[in-house]
Amino acid sequence: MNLSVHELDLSTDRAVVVVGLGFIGACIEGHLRAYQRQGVDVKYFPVDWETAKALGDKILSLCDSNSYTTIDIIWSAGKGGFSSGNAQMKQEFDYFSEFLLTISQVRGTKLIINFLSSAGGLYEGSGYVRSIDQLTLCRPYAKWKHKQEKILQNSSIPSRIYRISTVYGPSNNDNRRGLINTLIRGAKTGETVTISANQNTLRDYVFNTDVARQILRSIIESVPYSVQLLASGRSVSIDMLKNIVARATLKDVRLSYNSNSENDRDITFNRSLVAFFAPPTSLEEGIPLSTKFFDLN
Amino acid sequence: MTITVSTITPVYCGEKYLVELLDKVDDIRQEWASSSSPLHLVEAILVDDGSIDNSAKVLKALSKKYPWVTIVTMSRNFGQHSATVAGICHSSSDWVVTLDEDLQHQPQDIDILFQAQAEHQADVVYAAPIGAAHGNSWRDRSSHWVKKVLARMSATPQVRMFNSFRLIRGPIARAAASSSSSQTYLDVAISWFTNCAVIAPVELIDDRYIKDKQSGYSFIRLANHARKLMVSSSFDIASKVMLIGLIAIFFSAFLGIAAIVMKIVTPGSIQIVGWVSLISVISLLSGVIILLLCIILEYVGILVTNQLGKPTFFTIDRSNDGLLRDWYLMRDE
Repeated sequence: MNLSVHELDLSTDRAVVVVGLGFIGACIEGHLRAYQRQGVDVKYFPVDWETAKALGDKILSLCDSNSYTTIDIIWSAGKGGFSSGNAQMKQEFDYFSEFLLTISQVRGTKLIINFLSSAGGLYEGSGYVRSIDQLTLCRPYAKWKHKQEKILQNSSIPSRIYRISTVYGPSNNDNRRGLINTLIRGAKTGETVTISANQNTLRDYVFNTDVARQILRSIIESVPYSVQLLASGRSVSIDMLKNIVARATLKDVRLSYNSNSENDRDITFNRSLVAFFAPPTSLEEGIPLSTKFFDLN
Repeated sequence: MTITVSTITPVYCGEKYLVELLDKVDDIRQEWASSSSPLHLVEAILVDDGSIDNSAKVLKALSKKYPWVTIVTMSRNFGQHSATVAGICHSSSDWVVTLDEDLQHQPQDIDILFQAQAEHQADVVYAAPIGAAHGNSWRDRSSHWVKKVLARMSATPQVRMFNSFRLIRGPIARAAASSSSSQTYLDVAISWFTNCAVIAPVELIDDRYIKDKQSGYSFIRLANHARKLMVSSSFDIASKVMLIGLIAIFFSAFLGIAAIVMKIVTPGSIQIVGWVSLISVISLLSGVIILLLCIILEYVGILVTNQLGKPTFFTIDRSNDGLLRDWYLMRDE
């Protein structure tokens, strides 16, 4: 795992630390460069999943060695996924708890945690979501993510929680590609993609750039501490996705379905719950952009 | 268990009607909520199709008044079908109802469509006008005849039912809409996914056309509409015409054999030398050309059908239909 430290070019001395430069973290980190102070390089540090105290100490040393008034920590770290078991997710939870405990000792610098949570996990099986509290917590992944949210909200550190729907977009991360990028790759290479869901299952897909911009804007404009749902508000089925990808790539998308009743349940969000400041990128725009990125890389 | 419903309305010049339309949609929404119906109207999607009046302003105000109203704005006028397709592609409900902006389709009649669905366990319910929707005009008559001819010529008897006031099962609506191209007639696309369609008699009166003689459709637009319907429907002409080609080939073979036999058996009976051979050759060549053209047409037909978006297969879950049927039975008791 890596973390990056960005000194912002704003009126007050502020820094943003991105913990975890995976699919979403890397996108946020890329957008942060637009706000990077001239003449100051972005600093990168490798951190491991063994000792949270080491990560916490790193943050504390940043506070001590610099005159930052505020450090926003974007927590986009996480090894677990939907299929993770209790043991793995508990390890992640313990790591996060220990990290919070370590940085609660900070003096002088205001620390704010921007925690990236998972709307897909927390609302799985909800069908039509009318309220931000309509959680289902079906899997260990969701339960432990929610516990991380709770422990953060109950700590003394101010926080913003972003419940992010299924993210897609240009990415060099081959390990966690996501469904849409997998479909694009399948269309381009001619491989058959196996989907563990029903072709009509509805999901909400959100473009990674929209997520990055929302988080950065929330930080820069010091948006009040709250829970934000970052979803597009428009759910589509896998069948629809297939058609959009086929149009964008001008190739057939070959799919086979591995029926899995656990993955068959729809997740649709009422548009009024969506927290985006600006209208999210449509799939008809985002998928061709992702396709172009695939072609160029 | 809730069954979610979305309404889709393309908007072009509807500023006079939109407020009343949404008020009536809200009425049925409240009625379902208060009667413990399993149906729940979760969203009304209005598609601003490059509206030419103040519809955009009215829509914005309505979306503030009713939080369940969603506005989709098209970049230019694309036409009613395209706007409907866009609206469906933004829906996420178990059932989708499409209705016009001008109150020709009364929102309270949505319940009639659902009753028909519950009774017949259909995937699609089309409103069937009781009487002439446009006041017995040439428009009603021409629409009726075009659909009748196409139903006969194409393999889609559903063509006769087509109406823009429709109830469609959500996954089928979205699948049909997302696989349609710009030249695909939406209802033909729907017929690719299901042939389980019924009609529900409903009073449909186009007041805007009858009183004000106003319509979003000029003659050219209607003709283009009919053209799209014809192009989207698959006609089995190639295989029928191929038969003519085969007949011509057999006829030429028959003529040829007959001429040879006559030449051997009764040599003097053929008066004009070369006539039979000429007809035989012409018939043979014509038959071969027709056959080849039909084969090419078949391939072109396959390519066009693929381009239009016809699927190889589609799966559906109808397991919740019993819930709605039981509720209507209980309500009627």
